[in-house]
Amino acid sequence: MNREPSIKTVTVDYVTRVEGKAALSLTCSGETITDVQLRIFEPPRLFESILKGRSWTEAPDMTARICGICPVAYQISAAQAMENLAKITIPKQSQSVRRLLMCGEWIVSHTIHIYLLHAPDFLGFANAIEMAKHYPEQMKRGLALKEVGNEILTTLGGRSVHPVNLIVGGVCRLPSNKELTKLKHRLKSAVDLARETLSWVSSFSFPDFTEEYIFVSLSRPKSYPLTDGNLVTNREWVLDERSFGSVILEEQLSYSTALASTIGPSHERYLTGPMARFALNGQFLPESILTAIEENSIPQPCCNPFRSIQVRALEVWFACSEALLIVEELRREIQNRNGEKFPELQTRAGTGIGITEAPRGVLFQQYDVDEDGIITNCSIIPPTAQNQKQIEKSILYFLNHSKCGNDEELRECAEKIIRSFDPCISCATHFLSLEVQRL
Amino acid sequence: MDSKKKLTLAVWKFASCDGCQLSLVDCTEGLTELADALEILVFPEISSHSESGPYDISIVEGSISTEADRVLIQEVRRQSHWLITIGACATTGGIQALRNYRDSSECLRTIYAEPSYIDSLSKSSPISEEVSVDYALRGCPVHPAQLSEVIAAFLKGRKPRISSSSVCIECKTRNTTCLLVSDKIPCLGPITHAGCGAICPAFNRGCFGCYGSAETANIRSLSSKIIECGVSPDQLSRLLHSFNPPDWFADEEVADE
Repeated sequence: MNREPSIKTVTVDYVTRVEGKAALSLTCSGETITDVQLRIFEPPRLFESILKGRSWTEAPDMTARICGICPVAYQISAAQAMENLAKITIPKQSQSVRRLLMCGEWIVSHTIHIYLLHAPDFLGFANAIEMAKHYPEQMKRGLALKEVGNEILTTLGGRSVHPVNLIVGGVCRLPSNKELTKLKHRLKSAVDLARETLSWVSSFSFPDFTEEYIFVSLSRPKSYPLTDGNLVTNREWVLDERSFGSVILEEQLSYSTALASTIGPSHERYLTGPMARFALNGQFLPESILTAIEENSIPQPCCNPFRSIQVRALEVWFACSEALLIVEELRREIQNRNGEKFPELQTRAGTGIGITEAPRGVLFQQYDVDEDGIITNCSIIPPTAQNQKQIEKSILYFLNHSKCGNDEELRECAEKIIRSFDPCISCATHFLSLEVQRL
Repeated sequence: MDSKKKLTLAVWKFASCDGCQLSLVDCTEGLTELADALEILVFPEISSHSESGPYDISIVEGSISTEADRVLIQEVRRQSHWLITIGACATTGGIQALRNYRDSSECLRTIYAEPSYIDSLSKSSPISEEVSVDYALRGCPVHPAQLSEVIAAFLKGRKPRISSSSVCIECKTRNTTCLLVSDKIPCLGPITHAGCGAICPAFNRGCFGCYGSAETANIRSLSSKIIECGVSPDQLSRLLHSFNPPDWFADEEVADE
């Protein structure tokens, strides 16, 4: 081995093929890596501060700007927080449009990760452009799939990044029958593309590596979570909306602009996102996907982060099938409708919480609003901030497990394990008034 | 293909949401078209491979809000023949420029227990406040078709064909009924820069100014119209100061009248 038996630091100055800016420092003592710091240097944008003094109805559009990859998740959790606070029930068709938008966002976000960011690692390329030269058909399929996701977002939301249809109380516009019919045809072909994607990524070879995780996700009776549900874990804690803030601890790390979360009385690391959703709700996936899971020997729970590409692929499939069901339901309803009534937006003072499953996991928002409808306080806990400590632990464990040779190999391995968690650094960098500081 | 003849491209990210870079991926048939026309030397979002400058074209997303980024943008400028900013953050300072009108250390204290660890300037500035910019494309987010047009124009050495009119004009072109006139719905369409294709009015909602100020904007006149819709001066002020806050801040007194 080339490494000296002395303490030294290896750094990855800019972790590539992830959303946002992060760096990594590894402390090595001889053969062993003793410390890992995922340094998020994404400039802080101070959203929780600039939201103060704004109107309760502005939160969905403003928080969407936290992340261009998952704006719909921000819009829905913010709107739900305000609707809970003001005790507004949104019309059923608006609810369907929101779920459909979220399906679109899952398809786009996951497909980008699978084809543009993650697959090149398994096939030995520095980027998707190089990969496309050798795998043109596969790349074409990935882009076609992403395009269907974009089409859902554009049809229902006006545009794919920061769509404009979603407001507190519901949506501004319902799709036409013609638009839904077109989407239906597109989604039918997307289901096939998603199935092929799952088979393709299942043919990759995965490092033999598993970990034990504390998983956190939303859960719904007999269905896979998307825009709502109750919080659940694979551990003994009982989580609910109100207790989330106290069970989860947010802390500032001296080396990062993102706050990091831990869970439970002994402040343990945990994981939210596709692997958590699959572990806690996988049995509720449609029959056809369950069969494919067996055929492709995907372990459930899946505790190998490199195999998360398979979990993302099956979630894309789920999102396409779910979107197809919603489109068909909406078509029937819109044909027979007498026009839904938009709820009256009455300002109320109070506290509201909204939680959704963003593509990368649980996205929590809580607002205090005064009697004039002005936001006086808010906290937002995005998925990547929650996963940060688990990612650090996994890097440490994986690098010591895989016995990399020189520093270059170490850097490459470290980037690969980080990428497999699909962190969204743009999201992670803000947030939450903190309770404890341990430095 | 002779790659030596291709123009070289670098893509840089400062304080932003990544959405405009995503539009870049969306506007180019998933990069293959872009890769055919340009040699991508820096694009960390999608490639592990980076090369040092100089670059023919640098595309910049995000605003300048840290000391480190202030240094980096100078270096980007030095290395780039053309520098194009994409999106509201890079072009006007973005939504995070709302902090410019508040006590910035208070803003940091709201979020971080130990603000001293955080490198954050009191202001979020557009790129043009730090270095010279060759072309600025507006939008939160930028429109993929406009972004394609800008890149195509630079490749051919011509001026980008981007309209400098208002959302109001785009609405007329689309034949959307005017929400402000017919339904008394507050709408910033008359003063907002064109580019989005007037999506919001087509979705039954007033324009909220994602593209910032149109070249000629009569804010005073529109403000009184919006007040007539039953909007309070506070609400109007918030509407004007969202995604491109510096654009209309100078006119705050007008809005307050």
